[in-house]
Amino acid sequence: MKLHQRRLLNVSLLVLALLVIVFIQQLNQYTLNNNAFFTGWILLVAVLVLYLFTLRKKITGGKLFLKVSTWMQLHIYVGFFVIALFLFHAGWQMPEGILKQLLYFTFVAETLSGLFGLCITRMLPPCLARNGSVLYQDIKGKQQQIFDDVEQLVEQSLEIKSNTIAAFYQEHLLHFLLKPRDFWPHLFQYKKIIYKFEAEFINLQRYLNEEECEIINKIHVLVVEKNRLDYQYAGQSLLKRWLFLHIPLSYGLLLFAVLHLILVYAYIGGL
Amino acid sequence: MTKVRRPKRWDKPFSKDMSDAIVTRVLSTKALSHLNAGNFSDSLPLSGIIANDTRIVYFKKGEVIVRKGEYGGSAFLTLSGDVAIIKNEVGLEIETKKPTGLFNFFKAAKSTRLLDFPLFTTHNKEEHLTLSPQFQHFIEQYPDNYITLEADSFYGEIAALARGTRTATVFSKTDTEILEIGWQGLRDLMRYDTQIREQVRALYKQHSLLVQLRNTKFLSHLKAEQLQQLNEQSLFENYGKFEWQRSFQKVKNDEDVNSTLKIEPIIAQQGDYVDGLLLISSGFARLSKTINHGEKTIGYLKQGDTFGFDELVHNWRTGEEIDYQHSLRAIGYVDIIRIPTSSIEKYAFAHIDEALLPTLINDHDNLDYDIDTGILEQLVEKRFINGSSTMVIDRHRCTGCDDCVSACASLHDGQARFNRNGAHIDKYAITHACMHCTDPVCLIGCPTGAIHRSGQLGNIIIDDNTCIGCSGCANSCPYENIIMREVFDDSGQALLDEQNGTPLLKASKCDLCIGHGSIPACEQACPHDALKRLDMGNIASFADWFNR
Amino acid sequence: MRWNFFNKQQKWVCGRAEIGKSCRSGSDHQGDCHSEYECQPLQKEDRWYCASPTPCAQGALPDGGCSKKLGFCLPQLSQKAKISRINLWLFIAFISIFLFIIAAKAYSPGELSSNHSFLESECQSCHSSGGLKSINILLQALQPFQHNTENALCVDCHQFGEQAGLAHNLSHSHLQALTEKVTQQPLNSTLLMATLAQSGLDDQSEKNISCISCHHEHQGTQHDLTAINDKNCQSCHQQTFTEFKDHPEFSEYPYADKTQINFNHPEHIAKNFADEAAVQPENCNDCHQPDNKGELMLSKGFDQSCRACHLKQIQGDSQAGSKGIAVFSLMGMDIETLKAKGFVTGSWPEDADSELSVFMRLLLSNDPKAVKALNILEKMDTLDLRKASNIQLQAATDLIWSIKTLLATLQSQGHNALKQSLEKSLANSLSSTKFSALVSLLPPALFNEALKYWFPLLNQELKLYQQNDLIALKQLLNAPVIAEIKHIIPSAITETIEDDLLADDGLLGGDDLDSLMADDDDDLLSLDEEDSFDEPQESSVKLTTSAEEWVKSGGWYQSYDSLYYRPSVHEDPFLKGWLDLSASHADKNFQAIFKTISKPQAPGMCLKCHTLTDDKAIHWTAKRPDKNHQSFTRYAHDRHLAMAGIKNCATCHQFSQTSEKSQSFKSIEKQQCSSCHAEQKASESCTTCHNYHIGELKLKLKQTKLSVFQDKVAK
Repeated sequence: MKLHQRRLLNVSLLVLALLVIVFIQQLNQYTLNNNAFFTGWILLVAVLVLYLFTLRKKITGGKLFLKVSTWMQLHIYVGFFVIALFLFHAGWQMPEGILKQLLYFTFVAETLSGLFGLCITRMLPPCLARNGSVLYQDIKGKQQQIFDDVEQLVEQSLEIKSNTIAAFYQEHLLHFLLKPRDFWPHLFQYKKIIYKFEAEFINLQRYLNEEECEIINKIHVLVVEKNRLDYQYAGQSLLKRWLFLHIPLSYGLLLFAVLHLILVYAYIGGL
Repeated sequence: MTKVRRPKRWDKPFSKDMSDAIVTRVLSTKALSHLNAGNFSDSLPLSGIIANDTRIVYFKKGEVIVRKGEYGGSAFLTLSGDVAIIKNEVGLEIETKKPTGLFNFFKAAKSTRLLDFPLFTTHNKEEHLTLSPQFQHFIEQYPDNYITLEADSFYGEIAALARGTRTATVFSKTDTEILEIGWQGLRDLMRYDTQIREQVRALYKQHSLLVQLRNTKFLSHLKAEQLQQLNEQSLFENYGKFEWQRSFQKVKNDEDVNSTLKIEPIIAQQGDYVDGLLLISSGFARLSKTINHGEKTIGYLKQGDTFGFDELVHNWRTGEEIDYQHSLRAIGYVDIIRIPTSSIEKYAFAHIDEALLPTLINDHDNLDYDIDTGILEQLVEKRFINGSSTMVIDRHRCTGCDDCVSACASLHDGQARFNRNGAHIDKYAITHACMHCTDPVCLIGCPTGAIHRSGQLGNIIIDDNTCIGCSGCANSCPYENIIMREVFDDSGQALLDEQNGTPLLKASKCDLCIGHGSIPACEQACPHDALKRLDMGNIASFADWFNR
Repeated sequence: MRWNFFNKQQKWVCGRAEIGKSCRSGSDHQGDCHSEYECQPLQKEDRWYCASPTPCAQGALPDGGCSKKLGFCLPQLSQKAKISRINLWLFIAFISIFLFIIAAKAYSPGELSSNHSFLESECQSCHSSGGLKSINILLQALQPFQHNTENALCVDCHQFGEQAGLAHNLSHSHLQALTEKVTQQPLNSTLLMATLAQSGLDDQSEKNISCISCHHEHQGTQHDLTAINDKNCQSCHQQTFTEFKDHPEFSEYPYADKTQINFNHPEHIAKNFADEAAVQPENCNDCHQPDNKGELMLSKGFDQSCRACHLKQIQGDSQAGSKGIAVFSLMGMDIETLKAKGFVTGSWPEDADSELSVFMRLLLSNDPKAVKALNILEKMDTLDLRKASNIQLQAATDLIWSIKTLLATLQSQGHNALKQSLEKSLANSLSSTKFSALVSLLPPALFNEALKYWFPLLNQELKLYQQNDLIALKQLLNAPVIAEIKHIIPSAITETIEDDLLADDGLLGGDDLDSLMADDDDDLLSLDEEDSFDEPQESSVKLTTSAEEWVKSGGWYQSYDSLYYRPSVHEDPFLKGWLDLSASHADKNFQAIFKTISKPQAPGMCLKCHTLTDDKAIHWTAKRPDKNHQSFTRYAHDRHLAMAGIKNCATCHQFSQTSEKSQSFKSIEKQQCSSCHAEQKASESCTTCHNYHIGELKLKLKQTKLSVFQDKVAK
């Protein structure tokens, strides 16, 4: 099955499921049953399905379970389903009460983080791939290597009795090379930094002899590479770090949801 | 700090039962009696080879010694009793791969057999596979179906030498005693003894020819005598070096994109006279068409494929004399069977229903699969087509979550067995993960046979117990997919060599999660459908994935 | 080549791993570094060689040391361990919030509506789990859902009677009676949905419906608890529709029920008001005003709307016939025949020719002898006993004596005797208020005068009668009768009485007895006597008008053989008392009274306007709003009348030419409502016009015992 066919199928299933829910809700209005119980339980079950994804990821080598990518699809589309169901359940409005509001905000934060994650996992990888991939854990090593290489080249320049390059390095490059920089500008594809360097390199070349030019050109190449690695670092960090919002929030969400469920049943039965 | 002795070859012999007496007895058999121990080196004495790289196996009547389609690294020599080879096993092939995925289950169920009874039965894993009573009865009724093998000749050498699958099923006609020679043993015997070398090579040629002719689809309609004629008139040729990885490793990182093309020997040149039909017996061959000053790769041929068939048919039908439409180059090491034009016209085309033959050639660039030329060029150029489970990552979907790596690690003592880095082809990355090559050159240099093919599935796996950490396989792998890795003790510290204090190393690579389900953990674990293990042998199916 | 390996089990990684320069052996599980040198050189004979698998250029040092010193590193937590640590902290944070919520009991699901806001911190008022501690809440949550108890705490304050939980607070049978399953609706989408939704459910009609089905609390202070979704109604109501235009047609709305006061609007307007131009109301509002809620249109009541014309009727001004009600009256008796046949009757007014009044019959009903006599004499004309049998004659005699005894008892004991007698008939005690209405200040003097007039020697007669001294009795009557009478009766009228007595012709001095007897017409009698009759109460003054005319504004008066009561005002206590008492009483004597005084033309003419309720009580007032009672429908007259679209009352209320209803209005048609109450216009919801809770709705008021104050005072 082609990916776009799968998407079409999944969206259709989602829409179908939502239509069924809406229909049953409509039916329920003709009874004295409270729709909140219906949507609440479905919501809980659907959310548990979302949690099953995490559980599935923890199991490796199982023969009985579907592929994680299938679960991911389930996670995404059940996620959308849950958003709609949540809105039905909450009645399209802010709830009253501290716990319910806490639950509401946790859910909203969880949902937004999930949607954000979905966006970046679909949008960032092509950008990163076009930029030339590098393993996340290798980035710092490579940058260290670049730093060492640049230092070596600067030393080389000092050997020919000129401190122009060294001064330039000290003034413009040292800070840049020390560690990954420009996290946010890179995320927003902001290219000013590297353009600034380009201009400075060109300016500097006016004052250099041939030997020095050779050195500065090598440094230039390394700086461009460092900048590329910064971009990779920013992108890949974001791809990893958004989960630090999404996953812990899900724990909170489950806790609050269970408390909410208990309270609802404790207080409804005795009313 | 734990320090241990570095393991050596023959620490773990093939069989523990090979006593000196048995070794002597084995060496006194007719096939081996001519061997001169003096020709062998001190470090690899003849008796040592026999004692450690061979074993004696007993088979009862009706038991299967080797089975077609299975992978195996050893050759056989019958010491006593009779064995026979099943001649025509069309429709009796076993699945070389287990069905993958939930829905393939049904596909497997659909495969039909010619015979409506099980061919083989097995009681448990320990026992040998046995011909089923019905099948045994069937074979006895039609003796044409098998050939009894000569007593003192080797068999099973094709799989051992070509690193491929068994090409035929051999079973025991009577109770037999058989010497099984591990592939390392056979290699060393051939290295030090010319006679055995010549004998085995001749056998290899002869058997390959037979098998290849029999397994070529359109020839299967021929009768035995016509096949015999073809067999006699065919030529067996080989191209490229047996250990091709060395030359490849030298050029693979060249900036010149044609450097690999240059080291590939030409088998047939576009525009040459069509002098015969070429059958690929083993290895890979690049199929290309000249474009301007370069060669455009339009595909590749693998074992069982033919070259020049369309041209031959065209010429035979029309009486024209068109030339080869494509060039054929050997990627690595290739065995070719060349059937001369006159023979094929006389013994084959004349006897085959015309409807079964292809139509006339008009436009030959129409391939039955759809894959980007750039991707195909690079796959062939970098010889990734060798892989049967090449790990391909779609970098436009990969988020770098490392779930694949993590899943791999959790199935392999916490240590991942591949590197997510790799060659970039278009938006895909061919990672540093063992591809389980069709032609696994890593196996060639292994002194102990620690790296081997697993029986039925053909996965290339390394036996940690017998690996001595020589780095041979890691160095021969042209794809850099095997690495040498420290061995850790329970406290998390590396085990050190008692002699020099350096960490002990073992070769480590992907084993396709053997024993953990049909889909490897990495592919299972990828949440974004970015990672896929592709069988490059099946160009249509992987093209599908590339075009998804 | 080295791969930067992912190792799941490693908690610690080489400190140089991050910059890609990790050593081969790495950190151990405790995070300690052990690798100081790259390798440990190997000695071969006298020389040391580098033993690394990738030998270095410098090689081993001469003393056997490695030339590549690594130096210990500071192992770092692996990526995975860092992630676990962050996750752990975040998890702890959430657990803390969780525990805080539990500790602070901050689990109100929202503010209560303003009506209930005083209960904000008193969960137990509405929830049985309200006072529970944490763990018990969990246990409570696992309890099966209890339908029966769930409403209990609501109805603690909100009283809906016995059937609080049932639909409309009506019993199942009542509900069924009301449910007229009218013709099957054509299948529409709404009906289909409702049918589908309820197909899986049990019949709910006999089950308790929980309050929370419709009333949702904890929705914030602004939430309207009584806002009900139409679909809630349709969960029971089979005739489902989404728009008001599909509502069933009204039938006789709002005139299905009779009004409590008879009032024929067209007739009044066409005839009565035309005659009385002075009192004619100008518009509807002169008589009708909306109630406090603005719903019911109340009529202004007798004093303002009816008095001008109808008081005269009550007092009997222009009425033909007796204007008073004969309360104590003597029946005419054929004394002659009785005497002739030898029965001793004592005296009997010879002018007595009425029937025994219904009140007298009631009072006599406690005397068995009288009852028996009355039974025998039923359907007999006691004025002519010539053909009567002895038994009947005896009965007549007994009756005479019973009446005399009764009257004598009343005379001597007054109201008390009357009350006792009534209570005996009622078999029930009478409150003094009620009784005082029943006797309406019957003055003793009048009663005495009447008795003296009827039976001058009553006490002697009775004395002798009781002694059974019949001879003496005869003598008493024969000899000094006149002297006695003269002695008793005031001198002013003596002459007349004398004449009358002598003429043996009752009080009709001068008139021919026979002709009167033949005429036998009471009305004529009373009219005729106006000039000649002298009021006995007035001792010294010669009356110029009859006694009846004398008490024009109502009260007691005597005329001939009867004591009358003439209605005095609207809400006359005597009539009201007796109507209330007799209307629903089963006893035939009471029924007889009721029949007499409830005649449309009977004095007072009460029931000309006042109607009877279904259980035979009397509507003394027009419909009045009852704040404790709620009916199915409501209509806000005031708001509608204030609206621009509605001209006046006649927009909806139209006279009917054919209707036989007393109001004579045409039934209001649905179309009149649905022209405004439609989609996108005025509200169409069920609860716009209908109430769910029907019947008596009372708030349960707190009882405050006096002891509360007594204690305080004591302190």
